[in-house]
Amino acid sequence: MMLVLLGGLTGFVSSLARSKRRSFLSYLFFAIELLGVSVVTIIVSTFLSSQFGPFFVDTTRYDFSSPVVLTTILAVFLIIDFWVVLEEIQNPFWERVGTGGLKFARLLGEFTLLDRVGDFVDYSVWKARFRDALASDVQCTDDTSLTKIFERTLKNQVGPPIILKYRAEELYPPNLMKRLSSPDKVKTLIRYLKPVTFVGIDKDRKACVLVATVQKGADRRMNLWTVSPSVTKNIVTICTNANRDILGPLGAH
Amino acid sequence: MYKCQSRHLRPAGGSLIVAIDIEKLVSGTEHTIVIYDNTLDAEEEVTRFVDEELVASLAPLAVSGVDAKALKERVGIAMRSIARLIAESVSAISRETQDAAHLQKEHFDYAKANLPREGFAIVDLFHEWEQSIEKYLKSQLKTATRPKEAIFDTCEKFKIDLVEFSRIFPKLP
Repeated sequence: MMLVLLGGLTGFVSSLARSKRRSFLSYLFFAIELLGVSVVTIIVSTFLSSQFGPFFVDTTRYDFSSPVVLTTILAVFLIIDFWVVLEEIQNPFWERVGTGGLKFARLLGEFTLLDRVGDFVDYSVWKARFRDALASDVQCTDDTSLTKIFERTLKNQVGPPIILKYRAEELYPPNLMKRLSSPDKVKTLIRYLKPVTFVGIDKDRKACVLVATVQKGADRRMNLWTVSPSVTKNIVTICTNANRDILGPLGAH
Repeated sequence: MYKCQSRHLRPAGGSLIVAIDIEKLVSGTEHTIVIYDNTLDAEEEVTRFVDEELVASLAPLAVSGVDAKALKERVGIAMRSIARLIAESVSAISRETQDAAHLQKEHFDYAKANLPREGFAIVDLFHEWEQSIEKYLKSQLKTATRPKEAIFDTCEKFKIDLVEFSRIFPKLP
């Protein structure tokens, strides 16, 4: 666990890496982090396979402590979204900005469980708090269409809103950005991965009625919260239908 | 955002003469933007104006063999796109003194006042817009990882939604 905690500092240290010495340290911390998450992955995979494997497989034929079984499980983790990651790495942004080491680390990261566990815990906490008012990983449209969808849905169901459309890279404190070794590249990265965040406020400016964060990996997805489950449901339906009925016939999926 | 060109457009007021440069309008950088509650009403007023006045005035221009209704719809989409581009460009000026661009009713009023009124000027501007969007889409289709992203980028650049995109491009070029 200590290894993981040490590794967790990597991002912070590398963001401050201006000198060669600090750069070396960040690589060292990165290696430690990778080792840490690999160890955790192996421990968790072994535990899960020994606890839940017998429900699915005949235990008289397979030994769950076998490295072959462990390797298979890790391979399954990799296959789940390996092609998505591969596509992401091949896109023009990664071609321009990503170093060989970064690409290798991104692929290697697919072997680890930590990201998925983190995502699952994060989603569970928010879902438990907001229930049906929150929708995660929604297939979404472009910014212009989204703006219109939000404006019209909120106007009809909540009242005329004020919409704030944030460029995600502008949300980070300028003082922090200045301290990064390559702020322009970091901004490009943020702009690519999280192009825009929407916040809706009621016209009296007393309550927040919508928060939507668009994320772009291999596909464009959105996490959405609104003041009412019915508003959330309507927006999700409109976005889903737009993708199916317009992009489908154009052969754009 | 505006520059005087040989092709002049005359707004309703009559005296102000400006030219709309599509390439320059779409080349602006996207910034954080605040859209006010009365901005939507102003945008809807522009839509009404474009559909009921500008596009309606194109009737004598209908050419046999061309689907006049579809052509008018495309012209309407182009004019609304241009109005939105102008409004956002003007609102971006406020960004020099504030953190975000504030898109307000006055900006759409300004855009509406600067749209062309004469049939030939409207058609001329429409053709320029159409060529520009097609060129941009083709370039995006070559570089984007998926056609879907190329479509999204084009919609964002030209301020049209997906429904409008499908009217302009029933098939991808």
